Amino acid sequence: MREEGVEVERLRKVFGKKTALEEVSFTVEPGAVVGLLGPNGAGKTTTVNCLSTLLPLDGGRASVAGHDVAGDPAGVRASIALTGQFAAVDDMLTGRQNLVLFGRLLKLDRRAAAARAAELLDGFRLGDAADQPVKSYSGGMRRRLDLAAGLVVKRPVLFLDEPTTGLDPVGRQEMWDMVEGLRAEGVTLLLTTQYLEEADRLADRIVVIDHGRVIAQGTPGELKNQVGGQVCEVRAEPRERTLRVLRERFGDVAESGGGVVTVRGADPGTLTDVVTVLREAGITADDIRLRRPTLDEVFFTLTGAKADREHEEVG
Amino acid sequence: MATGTEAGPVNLFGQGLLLAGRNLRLNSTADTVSTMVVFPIVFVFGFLALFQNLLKTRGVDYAQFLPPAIVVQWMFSVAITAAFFFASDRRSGMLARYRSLPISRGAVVVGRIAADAVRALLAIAVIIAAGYAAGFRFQAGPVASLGFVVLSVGFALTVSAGTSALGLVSRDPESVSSTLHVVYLPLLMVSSAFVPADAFPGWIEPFVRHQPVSVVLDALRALADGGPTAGPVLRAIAWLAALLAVFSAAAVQAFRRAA
Repeated sequence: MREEGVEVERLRKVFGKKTALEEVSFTVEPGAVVGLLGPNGAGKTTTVNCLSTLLPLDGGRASVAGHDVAGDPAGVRASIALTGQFAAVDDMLTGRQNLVLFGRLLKLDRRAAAARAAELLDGFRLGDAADQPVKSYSGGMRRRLDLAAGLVVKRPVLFLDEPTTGLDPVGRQEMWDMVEGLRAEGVTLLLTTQYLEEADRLADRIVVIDHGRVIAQGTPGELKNQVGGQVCEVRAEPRERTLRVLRERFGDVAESGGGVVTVRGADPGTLTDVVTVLREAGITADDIRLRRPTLDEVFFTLTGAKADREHEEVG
Repeated sequence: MATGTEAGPVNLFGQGLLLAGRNLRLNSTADTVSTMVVFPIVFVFGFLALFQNLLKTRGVDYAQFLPPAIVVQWMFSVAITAAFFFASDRRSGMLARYRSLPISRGAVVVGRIAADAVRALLAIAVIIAAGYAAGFRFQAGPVASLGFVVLSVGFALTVSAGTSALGLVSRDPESVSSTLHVVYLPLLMVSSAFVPADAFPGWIEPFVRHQPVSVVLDALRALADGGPTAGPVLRAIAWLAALLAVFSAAAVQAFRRAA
C-alpha cells in the first residue's frame, strides 16, 4: 500500500440553501499533523464529516490514504479513525465493554478484542475505571476513551474533531499529551480546533477556515507573522486623546470597546514605548498589558474585515 | 487495498448481532424489570378488575379479550423505545461513529431489528403468562398460536420502522418519545383494544372498526380464539405490508441522511 496522507481539492458542501463549504483545499502530508482552525460554523466539522464519508460531497474531490472519498468510501473507512467532539462512546456500557464492542465490530476475535481493550485502557490511564459505566466518567476520561475507541485497530489516518472543546485545563493537557504521543508514532492527523493555542501546540501546519473557505495556511510561525505579533491593550482617560496620541506614534491602533485602545503588531518593546508616549502626553493609564492576539484578531488580520461581533459591541 | 470488505451477509449478520447485543444490554439497564415485566402484569390485572364484570353483561369473556390488546400496547412501546434509542445514538454521535467504521452498512439496522424482536418476544411471553393465570387460553391450536406470536412481532417491527424514521431525523430522544405517545395512545384508545367496537358511539364506530390497530387486534383474537381466521389475518397482513412499505422507505431515507 502506498503511504498517502489527505488531499482535499476545492471541496464543496451545500445544505439546502446554506453553503457550508464554499471551496476548501489543503493537504496533509503522510505522518504530518495539520490543524483545521476556525470559529464555530466555519465548516470544520463538515469538512471532517465529508472526509470520513459521513456526508456526500457536492463538489471537488478528496482522497484519504490514497482512496477517493466519493469513489471508494469503504476503502477510506478502512483507513481512518474518527473521534468527534461529542465523545461518541456508549454511556450505559463500561469503558471496557465499549472497546471490546468496537474491536469485535472490526473483526478482532473475542480474545484479541479483550487484549487490545486492556492495552488501550492502560495506555489511556483508564485502567481503574475500566469496569465502570461510562456515564460515571469525567469529561476528560470520556474523551480519552473516545480517542482509544478510534485506535482499537491501528489506522494510518486519524481525524480528531475538536478533541478538547468543553474540557477543563487538566483534561485538555492530558488530551494534548495523548495527541503528542500519537504524533510521535507517525500517525497522519487532521485535527479541528477553535483554539489558536491548541493548533499552535499540536500542529505542524495550520489551515484557517472561515465561512467555508480557506483564508490562510502555513506553519504556526508563518501565521503568527501574518497576524503580526501581540496586542497591547491600554485603558486610559481621556480616551479620545489617548487614541490620538497613540495613533500618531503607532500605525495600527483601534478602539475595541469598553474604553480599551489596542495597539496591534506589538512586542515587549512596544510596552515601554506606550508608557513613554503616554507620560510625555501627560496621560495616566489605568491599565496597560500585552497579550496574544485572540482568534477574532487573527481573523481580523487575515480577512481584513472587522468581525461582526465587534461591530455590535461598538454600536 | 481491497474495497467492499464491508459488504456480505456474514458481516451484515455478524456485526448486526454484535450491535443487537449492545442494544439489548442498553435496554436491560434502561428499562429494567419494572417496564418489561411488572407493568404488563399490572395492565392485564388492572383492566380485568375494571371491566371484567361490566363486559360480562355484554357477553364478553374479558380474560380472553384483553391479553391481545396488552400485547399490541407493548408492541407500540417496543417501537417507541426503538425511536428513542436511534435518536439517542444520533445525538451522542454513536450513529456517526458506526457509519465511519468499515462495517456493513446495514448492520446497524439489523442490530435494531433483532433487539426489537427479542424485546417484543419477551413482552409477549410475559403478557401471555399473565393472561393464562387470569383465564386466557389459545383455543385454535399450536399453528394459530405461533401465528399470533409472529403477527405480534411483525406488528412491532412494522411500527418500529415508522418510529425509527422519526428517531433518525431527530436528536432529541425525549421529544420523539413524547410525540409518539401522543400519536399512539389515541390510536389504541379509539380501537377495539379495550372494549369491542360496537361499544363506541355510532359516529366513530366505522373508524374504530377499520383502523389498522383494530384490524391487527381482530386478527390476533381470531388466532387466539379460533373460528374463521383467514379473513382477519389477511386484512391485517395487507395493512402491515402497506405500512411497512411506507415506513421502511422513510426509515431508509432517514438512515442515509443521519450523519
